[in-house]
Amino acid sequence: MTIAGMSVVEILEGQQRGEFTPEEVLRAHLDRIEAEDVGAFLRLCPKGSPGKGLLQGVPVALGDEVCTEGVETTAGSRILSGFVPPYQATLVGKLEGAGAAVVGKTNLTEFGLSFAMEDALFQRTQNPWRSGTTPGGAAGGAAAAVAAGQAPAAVASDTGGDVRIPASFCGVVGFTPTYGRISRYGVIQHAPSLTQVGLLAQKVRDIALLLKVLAGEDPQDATTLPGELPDFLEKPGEPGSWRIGIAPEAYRSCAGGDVYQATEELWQRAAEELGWQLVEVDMSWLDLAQVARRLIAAAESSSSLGRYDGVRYGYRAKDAQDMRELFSRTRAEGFGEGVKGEMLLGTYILGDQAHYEAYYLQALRARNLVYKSIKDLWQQVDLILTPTTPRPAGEGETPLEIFTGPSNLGGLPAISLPCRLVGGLPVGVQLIAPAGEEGRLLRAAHVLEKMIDFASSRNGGGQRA
Amino acid sequence: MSVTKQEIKRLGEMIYLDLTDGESVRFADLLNLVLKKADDLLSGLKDKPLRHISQLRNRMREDGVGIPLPKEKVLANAAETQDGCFRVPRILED
Repeated sequence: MTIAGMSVVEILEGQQRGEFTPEEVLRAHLDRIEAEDVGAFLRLCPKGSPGKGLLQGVPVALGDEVCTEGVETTAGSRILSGFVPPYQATLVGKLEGAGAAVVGKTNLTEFGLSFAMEDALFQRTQNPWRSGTTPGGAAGGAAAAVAAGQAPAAVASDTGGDVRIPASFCGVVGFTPTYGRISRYGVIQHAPSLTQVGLLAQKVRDIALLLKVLAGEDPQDATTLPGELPDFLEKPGEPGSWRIGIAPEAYRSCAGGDVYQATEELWQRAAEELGWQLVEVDMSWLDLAQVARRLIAAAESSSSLGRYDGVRYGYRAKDAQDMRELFSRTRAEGFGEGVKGEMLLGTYILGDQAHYEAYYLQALRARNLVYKSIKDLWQQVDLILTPTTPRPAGEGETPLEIFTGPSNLGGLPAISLPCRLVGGLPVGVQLIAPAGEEGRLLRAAHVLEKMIDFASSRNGGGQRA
Repeated sequence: MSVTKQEIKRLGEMIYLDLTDGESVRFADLLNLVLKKADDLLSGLKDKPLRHISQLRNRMREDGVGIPLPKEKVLANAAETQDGCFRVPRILED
């Protein structure tokens, strides 16, 4: 096997055996980026020799919403063109402190607002499985980079499925932790009550390693979780007799037939081969959760994105005669269509008492309903299993975040694993755990991953282009 | 309720965002689509609003003197500066 395309664990083990050096690992990935241009990276920023630590010599890609001191950071928006952060995101310091090598910044939709990677403003990113096909978004560049073997791991934000949706489309593992588990200091975000820092990699054990490095309280981010960290790697392969929540009726109404069938066959296999106990649960609130998350995200975005005005950083309209003209033209010229629509929607539902009560407040009521409904489910089940996306990469009516958004509404950890190929393209399956139970989630995901054996099924059922 | 093109223009003025006529029409359509679905699904809910899932309380840091970012580094990102300050169009009349 060539170095580029190895998992994080394989790279670390290869280095330990003396088969290659961290410098050779970095070179191999840079060569792969040059050889196979899928438009994943907006810019490369490799440094010299990496340090020592748990991730020694592991190249990591960062979504371009992660501030990197001295390296341009745009969050996929023209309004941040030329912005060179004067400080570093906490997570970058942790990665580099553990010996990881930041290889570059990956493409995303503007501020991560859209799940459709076609909306990205700077360049087109291809799904490595099929040229001309979307990798999904918002973190489409990060997922494409991991799928194409251009980086064994990537870090990007997740506000409704931004990491798990492209992970599903690109056949890699996508994970979002409990709200507050990983510091968001220095991560440009638009909906702070929903955003979690997500991880992408080839394997579940890679995710566990990255999480061990990145998790923890940060004095710079008051929302990070205090207290001792659980051991995410404890007994990673131990099979468990988990009680698994499934909602066939809700899934059938939201997912395409092929995706539903793939998910159903998977949970049946898990019951037979792993001894998992299937429990049918009610998730009739999926549509409600989707609309509530959409409105809450818009409301928070209209506030968060109001900081961009052309005065202190980023794009600035030329020759404005007064402050109103400076702000209005800077935003008109600097923001893309998706951001403008989101700001207008958010302003509409916040800017008038009647609209506030009819929409924003009702969305918060729906959030509570969904939160309580999921909380009640934990009395019956240990984990919830859903499709990750309603379809493989391609067009469709159902919102892409229908299955992934609820975990952001509730701040819950969730993971998407490659499940199988549908029409030659990957689809993922998602596990969701109670808040704080990343250990349980990763142990179950590791067992499920081994059962699925996606690499073998991939070789039997089709090859990445 | 239906959002009009004029309403979108007014919202744009509120948030200092210039919009073309074409954009105003498109965004009115977008908002009407989203709000229609919201009307269908959210009306009548009586649950207590949940603003945030985090159970954390405010954590205060010590009120001490810290080290700010160097002024040159902060100003380096501005499109226009003058005399060590951000330069903006005239605010006060003569």
